[in-house]
Amino acid sequence: MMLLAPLALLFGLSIPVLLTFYLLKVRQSEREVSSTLLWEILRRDLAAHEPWQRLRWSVLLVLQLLLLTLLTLALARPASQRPAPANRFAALIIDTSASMAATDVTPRRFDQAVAAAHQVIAQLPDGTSAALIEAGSTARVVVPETLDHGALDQGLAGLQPTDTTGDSIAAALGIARALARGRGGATVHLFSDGAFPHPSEWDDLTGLNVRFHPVGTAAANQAIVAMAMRPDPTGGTGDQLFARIENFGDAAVQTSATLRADGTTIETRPVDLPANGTAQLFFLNVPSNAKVIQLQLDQPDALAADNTATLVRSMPPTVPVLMVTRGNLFLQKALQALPGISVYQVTPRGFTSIDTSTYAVLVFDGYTPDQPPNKNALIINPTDASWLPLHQVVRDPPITLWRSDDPTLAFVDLSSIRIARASEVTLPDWAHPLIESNGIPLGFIGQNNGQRVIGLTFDLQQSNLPLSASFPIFISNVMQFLVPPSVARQDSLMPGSPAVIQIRPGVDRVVVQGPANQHWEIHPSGSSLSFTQTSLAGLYQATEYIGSQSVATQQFAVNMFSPSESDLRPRANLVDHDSASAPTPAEQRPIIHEYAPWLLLLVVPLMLGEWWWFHRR
Amino acid sequence: MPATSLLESRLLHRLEGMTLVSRQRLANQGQGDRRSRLRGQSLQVVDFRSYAPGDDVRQVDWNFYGRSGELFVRLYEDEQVLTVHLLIDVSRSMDWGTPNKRQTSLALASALAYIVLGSYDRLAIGFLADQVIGQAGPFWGRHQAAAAFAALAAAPTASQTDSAASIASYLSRLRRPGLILFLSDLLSPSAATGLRRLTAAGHEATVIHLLAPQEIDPEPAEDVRLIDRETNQSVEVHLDSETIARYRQRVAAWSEELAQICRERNARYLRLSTDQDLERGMIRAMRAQGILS
Repeated sequence: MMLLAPLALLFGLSIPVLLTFYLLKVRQSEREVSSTLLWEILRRDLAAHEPWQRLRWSVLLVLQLLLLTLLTLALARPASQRPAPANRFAALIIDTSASMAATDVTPRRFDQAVAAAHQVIAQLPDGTSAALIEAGSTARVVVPETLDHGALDQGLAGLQPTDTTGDSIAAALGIARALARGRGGATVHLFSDGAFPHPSEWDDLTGLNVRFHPVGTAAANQAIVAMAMRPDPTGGTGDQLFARIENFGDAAVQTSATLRADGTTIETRPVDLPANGTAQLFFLNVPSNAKVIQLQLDQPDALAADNTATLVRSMPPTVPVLMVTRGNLFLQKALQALPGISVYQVTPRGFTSIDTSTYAVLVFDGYTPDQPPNKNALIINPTDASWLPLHQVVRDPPITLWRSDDPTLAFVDLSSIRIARASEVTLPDWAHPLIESNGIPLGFIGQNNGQRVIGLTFDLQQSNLPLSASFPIFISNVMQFLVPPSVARQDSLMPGSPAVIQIRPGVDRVVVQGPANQHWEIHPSGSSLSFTQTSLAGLYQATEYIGSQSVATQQFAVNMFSPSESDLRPRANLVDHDSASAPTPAEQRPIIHEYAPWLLLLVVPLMLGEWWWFHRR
Repeated sequence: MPATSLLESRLLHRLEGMTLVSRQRLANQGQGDRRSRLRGQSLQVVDFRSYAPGDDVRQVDWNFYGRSGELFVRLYEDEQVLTVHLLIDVSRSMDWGTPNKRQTSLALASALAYIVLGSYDRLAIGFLADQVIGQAGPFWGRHQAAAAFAALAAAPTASQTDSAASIASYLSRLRRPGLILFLSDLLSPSAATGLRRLTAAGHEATVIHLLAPQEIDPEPAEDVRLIDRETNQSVEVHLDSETIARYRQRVAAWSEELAQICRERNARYLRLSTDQDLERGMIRAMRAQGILS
């Protein structure tokens, strides 16, 4: 026990001052009496004329003495001193990449790593702060630096292995180094199987104590490291599937692979894998109407996640497109020729009373709505509107410029296009010209409040564009611009990669089901959403709901296809080393625990009690 | 102060018929309703003696002569006027207390004056402080009650008290003994001496010791400086319950000391508190003590 401010004990002089106040008589009040004759006789006995009086103990005096004593002690800052522990900070990095799910040790490498981390936390000296970092698909701090070791244990309990690659080990080491901030006594603990190339950041931790806690053995593993499917180039009825199987082991392995289409087994084929070698598999006549194609290695091994690969055939959803026109056969045919597009038609007069929420794209022909469209829209031959005012008719405008670098004009040649009549318009701020005639926009493109708008300022029937070969290409480009690609067009995703899910109009809820039967409920706010919980390999299914009714289902697959993770053999050469620098004297400061706050906490009820006692009746 | 404000008319009506009791027959000048030690011309026979030449033959008791054959002369009590002296302490110490001692003493004096005048006794009023600072009267007969009231209402005020000096001064002016009613708080160092002098010249004295309730039982307080109303001298006391108890004992002993002086000199002593009702408290107490009948 020590006093950090011993001079403050001088405040204790207030105690005799307080006692003096109690010994001194308070100022006397005066009272007139008829005569002091009778009082005079009592005067000697009363001794009331003395400036001092006998000390009378009272509750108030005791409370005030206690208050002053506590305040004096608090001001003197009593404290106890303890030596600081040798390691004041520890960074714990847990590898949650795919290889950590290997079962070559019981129950998994990950579980052994977590157990080792718990043991290290339990052995951390009191007063040592620590942080928990996860190295999964990305490196992230799970528990910021804390003295609460229980919080670290809780953080560990919330971790699970993923099917992501271990590329984030280097980033996690960088985070640990930043958190250590060059503290000489800090220690970085890495709990991993080392199934990744040697990270250079490990050697950069020269100023820190570095400890590698390896888990797992040099287990052999076989994995599907690639798979792709394509239509039969010879025009056959089925599709062709290619897969590559790799053996990450020093012994040859004989196994078999089973191909399933929509859950139905198509074929089981024996696979002979040489030591550290690969095998290529080709499957012909894969049913082209099957949506989900799955290949599985039948022989279990240390890592299950890479024994199955899944592909989802591209089946873009039908996009509803509403044409607002008095009739335009060219445009209608061009749109209907596009796959995955359903064209609906309405006259401009009927458009005002129609609900457009169910349509993904609006096509205005010879009509401009009063307000900018609230959907992705194509506007052809606009009429006068406040947001797109017409000025004059331009006759025979030559096309002097078109932006061929714009995706909507890719492979479109407008050099031979002639236009009989076009309208000169003033473009809104959010639009810019796409096709020009001496500075007059003949076509424009822009994005207003998230809605994509593209337009042509002339009547198609007043030009030869619909008759040219560029017209269907242009319309196809325009629709690709107006309808973004959905997840259904992505055959396979890497673990941890975001999946873009195209949302149908009116959908208010999307439920995604993961390969381990997890469920995520998402309330979309736009026409698409980005789903990022793809850390596990397997088949995902996104179901769209309007109210309680399911309106559509999309599937997408996540595959490991990561030879570095499938190779479970340790490769990183991680050697423990200690800090070269000793803790600075500033870092060796002892831990001082002050008691003044507790004393002040006692002062508060004492003050309240003194106040209550003084004012009580 | 209006003369009539001291007493209510209803009280005056009740005071009629009361008389001051004199335990001695006092000779005085004039003829009245009081018996005198001087034998004279009234109808009240007080004694007989043998006839001596020169006696009035009309005084011979012939009936007794017829029965015994001896001549005896009747001796008649001569009925004289009694003079009552109302001595009122008007020092500053009397002008204190709740109810105020001065107001109370003047009201009581008015009642006594009314009784005296209603009994056809002569009334003289003296206002005492450190000396005799005022006199009024003599008054005789009920018709002079208003004048007596006016004199009481116009009582002077003085600063200090000297009971012995003022009493001695007043008594030195009297040629004959009388009935003296002394109304005072007796808060004077010379009060005991004054009481002794009161009966020295053969006067029949009655002392009405009037105190305020605050003088009998002071209110407790913290440390307080008591300032004398007359002398401005101060006494610092801690008015706790212990001090007050000792003060009460002191007041009781002091009162007993004064009462003892009165008893030794055949004077009557009555202590009254100003919070007593004039009629039900004070007058009744005086009747109980035989001061009034």
